[in-house]
Amino acid sequence: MNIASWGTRSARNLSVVLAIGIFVSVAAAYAAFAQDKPVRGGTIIGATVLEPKSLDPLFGDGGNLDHYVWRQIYESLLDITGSGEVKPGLATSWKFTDDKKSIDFTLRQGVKFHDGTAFNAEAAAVTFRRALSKELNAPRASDLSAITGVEVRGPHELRINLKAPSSAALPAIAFAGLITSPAAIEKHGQDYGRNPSGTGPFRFASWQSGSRIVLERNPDYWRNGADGKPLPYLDRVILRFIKKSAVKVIEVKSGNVHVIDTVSARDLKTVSGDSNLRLVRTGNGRHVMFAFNISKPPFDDIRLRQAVLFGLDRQTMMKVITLGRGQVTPTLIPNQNWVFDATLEKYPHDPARAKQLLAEAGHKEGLDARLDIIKRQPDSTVAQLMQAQLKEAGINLTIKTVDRQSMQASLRAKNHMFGIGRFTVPGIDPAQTFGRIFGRRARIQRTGVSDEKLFDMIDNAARQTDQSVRKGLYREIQAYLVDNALYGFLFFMESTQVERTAVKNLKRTVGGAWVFAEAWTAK
Amino acid sequence: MTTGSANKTSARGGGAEPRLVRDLLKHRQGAVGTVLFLGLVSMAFFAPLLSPFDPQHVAVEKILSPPSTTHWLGTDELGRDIASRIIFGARVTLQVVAGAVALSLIAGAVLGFIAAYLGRFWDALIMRVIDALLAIPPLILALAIVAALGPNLFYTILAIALAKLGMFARLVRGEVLSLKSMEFVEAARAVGASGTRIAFKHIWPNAAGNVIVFSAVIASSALLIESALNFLGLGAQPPTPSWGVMIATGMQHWTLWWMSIFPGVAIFLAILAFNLLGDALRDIMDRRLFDLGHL
Amino acid sequence: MLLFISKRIGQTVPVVLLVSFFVFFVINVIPGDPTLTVLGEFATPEQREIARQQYGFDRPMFVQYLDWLTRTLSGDLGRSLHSNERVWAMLVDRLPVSLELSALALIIALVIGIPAGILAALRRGTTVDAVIGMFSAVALGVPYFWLGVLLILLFAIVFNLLPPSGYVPFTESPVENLKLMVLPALTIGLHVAPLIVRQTRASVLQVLSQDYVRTAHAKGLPWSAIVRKHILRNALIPVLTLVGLQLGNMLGGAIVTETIFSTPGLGSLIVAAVSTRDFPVVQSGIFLVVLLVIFVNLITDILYAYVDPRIRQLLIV
Repeated sequence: MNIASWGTRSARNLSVVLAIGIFVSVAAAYAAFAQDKPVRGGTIIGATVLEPKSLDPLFGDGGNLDHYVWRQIYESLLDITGSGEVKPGLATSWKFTDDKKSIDFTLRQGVKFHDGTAFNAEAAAVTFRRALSKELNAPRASDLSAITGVEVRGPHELRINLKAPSSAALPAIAFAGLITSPAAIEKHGQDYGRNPSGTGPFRFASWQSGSRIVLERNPDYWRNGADGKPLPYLDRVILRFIKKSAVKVIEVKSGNVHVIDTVSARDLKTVSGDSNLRLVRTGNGRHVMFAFNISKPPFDDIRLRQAVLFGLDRQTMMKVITLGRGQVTPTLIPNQNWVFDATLEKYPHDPARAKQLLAEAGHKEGLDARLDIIKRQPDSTVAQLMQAQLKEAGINLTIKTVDRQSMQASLRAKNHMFGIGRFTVPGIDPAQTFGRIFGRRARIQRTGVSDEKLFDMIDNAARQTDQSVRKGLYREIQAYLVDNALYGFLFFMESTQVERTAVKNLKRTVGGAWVFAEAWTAK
Repeated sequence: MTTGSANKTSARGGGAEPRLVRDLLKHRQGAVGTVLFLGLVSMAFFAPLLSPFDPQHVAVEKILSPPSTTHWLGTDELGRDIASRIIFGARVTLQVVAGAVALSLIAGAVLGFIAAYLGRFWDALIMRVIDALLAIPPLILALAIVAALGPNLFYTILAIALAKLGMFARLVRGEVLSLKSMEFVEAARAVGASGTRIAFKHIWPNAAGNVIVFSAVIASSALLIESALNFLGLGAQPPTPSWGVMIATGMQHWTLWWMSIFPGVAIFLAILAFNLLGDALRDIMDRRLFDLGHL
Repeated sequence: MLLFISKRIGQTVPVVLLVSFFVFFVINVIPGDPTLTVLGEFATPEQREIARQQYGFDRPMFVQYLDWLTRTLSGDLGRSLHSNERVWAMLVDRLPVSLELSALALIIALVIGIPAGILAALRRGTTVDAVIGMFSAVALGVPYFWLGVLLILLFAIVFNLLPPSGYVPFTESPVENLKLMVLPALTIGLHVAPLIVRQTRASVLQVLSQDYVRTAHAKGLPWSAIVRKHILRNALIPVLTLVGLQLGNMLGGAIVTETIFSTPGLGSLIVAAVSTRDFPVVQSGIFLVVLLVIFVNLITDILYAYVDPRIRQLLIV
């Protein structure tokens, strides 16, 4: 099990049964029996929030969300568990060279792509060469930016060269190095994104844009199931794209859909009494935060930034939005993560302090500021709560709602005063989390400045391999972010998905994306 | 659209307005429409007096409460009073509707007048541009413009006006064209009356009846477009109370029926007001023509 | 007739050109970096610069317009900046959904509107007429997106009879397809129906006052025969014109309706493309919708002129 998942309802029921005592062994044995005996055939329909823009893994823009579809079609050389353990995928073994700047992979034999061509080192190399290609200019190439080249050293021997020794290279390869069929890419050219071919348990069947993608069983899949026959158990997987959390919940309740991705806490309340449904906590979640633009007034003044932070009642905000399924943390690292540190907290709710700071900064009569948000939930509710809370601290907020693209443009042009964003945390590794959001290669510097000191701290931490040294360094980085009041870390929302109890053995990636390879459905 | 039917009504002369109101109130639908319309306007005008709560007051402890004696229509996702938000929402809506009607009326009248008065090339050019504008479904046109310029009250007004000015332009152009050939205009021009003077003195009184009917019709469809844009999130910005936004928010809370039902009723009644007024006015205008023996 | 048709088409061409011009320029003043759409948010500034040149965003706007127009006219709509899919394929994918939705909505509107309109006209001044009139006034006032929300609330949540959203192609499962299409079609259909009621009522009344109907009645022909033989034939022409004119309205309504019900038609494509700044898709999508509207109006006019020669004269002179 690579994720912390549990079924609230069945767990609660089970404990009742335990208390009764006598039925326990019978019930548990029956449950275990039912669980262990996969049924072949059938269809599972999943509903997820974002339709991928392409089924070519180098051309996605949904981060984790793209993997809800991709992970059924594609596999990478490595697999990674929730605890960060790296396991074999399409590679059976791997080892770092002595200088730690290259990794040698031995690849699995007898694996075929969906188009019938064979998977081998030459084929795998193409994926990485495409990522490196300046001409192709693939958007997701930056995920593999630690790599400088690949060498085919035998029919099933592949070497990947790195820029520098890095603790983040293996997770990056596992996450972003999804292996595509070179023959299919050759054949379809620009249209490959709609005609994908990988080695995964399901192959692409059809795509109704704006609605759904249908995948069918790959009869030549290499892994065997518990019954000794090839996986997957399911005949078909249908992935529907539904933006509204409330609609997803209606669909899963009525049985039109069998599993849905993250829903809002309020919608979860409406399913808690339904014995056909099971809640699944994915172990990660999203941190809602905002960034100050410190490149220009007013927030180039740290006192004003601190005034905003003292003016916010994050605890109330968290309770209103997550109904208790969340945490207020000093930075974006949630409390179960190994680099979490509660002592970093510096900004309790203190409107008086906020007013005092405003006065010190010459805004005794109050401060007018504009908050940019993306048109989505819960951002709009968060913004309006901030507006109400900050009003009491003497800060008048105007909210400007834009779509995602305009927000990116505005951040890039440093037109914002401050803006709300959210990130899926914890990542596979803090090196990835901090590098991606605050580091030198972050897609946007949300504070409006390139902070070399912070970049160096993040680069340095990523180079270390000793766990306790790293822990200290990440504490320093977090302290730096808090002390300089660069960001407002509002709260963490747990991600909770809902599935029908008929869905069995559905695994999930670290990011919460579904892997239907071993899933089956009880009729 | 504008046949010769309304042209010759200038004979009826002054004193039309009090009579119009009287006719309107005698007309069954007209009376209902007038009452609804006046209700809407006074709601917008006296919003601070009428609303029981501050529409923007966030009350965390009251979030999503169902209708009760304190909050007649319940509260929203931030504990704000829905009744008060609907009352204040009338302001935003009426601003957009009034702005859109006025702007399309003025711009349409000017374009229509220019087209007919200058004739030939200008007429052809302006009318083709207007044909093009009218060919684009109004909501799509508004969506494109608001998406291009950004969500903002004025751009919403501009977008709706642009989508609707063609109707006024055609109306005014038709009036001008038919009058242009008439003797008294020729005579006025002969004695050196300016274009604007002719426009105001002779053409406006003739077109006024139709303009009023059209205004009601356009107000109704402006209201629909405005609320649809808000519903899509392309209009009023939070925390400004807006009916369309309230319905969209209500859609995120299906089980809480009061969130989407009441704002919808508000939009419905407002559209109904303009529709009834429009129908009644058209009836009255037609009947007058009939009375005068023109039909 | 041929002269009329060619003249009418001649009038349409400048309108189409103006629309194309208008659509292109409105869409291109949308703020936001188009390379963000191409590359996503994860790309570097260098990658962005390469893309800007690759796609020609660095050229003057008018050059881009002419380029777009010539390519569009030659049938090359380019590729989506967002998904890199051929825009042509995307539109072809979506068009049948929107056409099906419009057709179903129209059927609903006609099935409700024509009988109700005829009934109201035949029973003019009675309670029946008043009730029908009241219902159409009320139906006209209901904002259709709210109606959509209410229908979902009622049929999907309270009664759990129909799914709230989604789409299955008709070819895959006609039953599933209709189950998913009925609510959006009702939403649009109920919005258009009152207009049909009114037009039908008005034109039936018009026909009823004609001499030949009076004569037929005087001759003792039963009403059912009169309705069938005279009234329907003559009264439905203006109704069909109205239907033609309403198409634009219906496609506009489809934008919001498809968004509510996640119906993958042209409307939801345009809304999605607007928010991702996918210029080629927005341009071609809106252009296609407008072309459809213009085309249907053209056909309506021609049919109308064919039926009524006076119109033909009016336009040619």
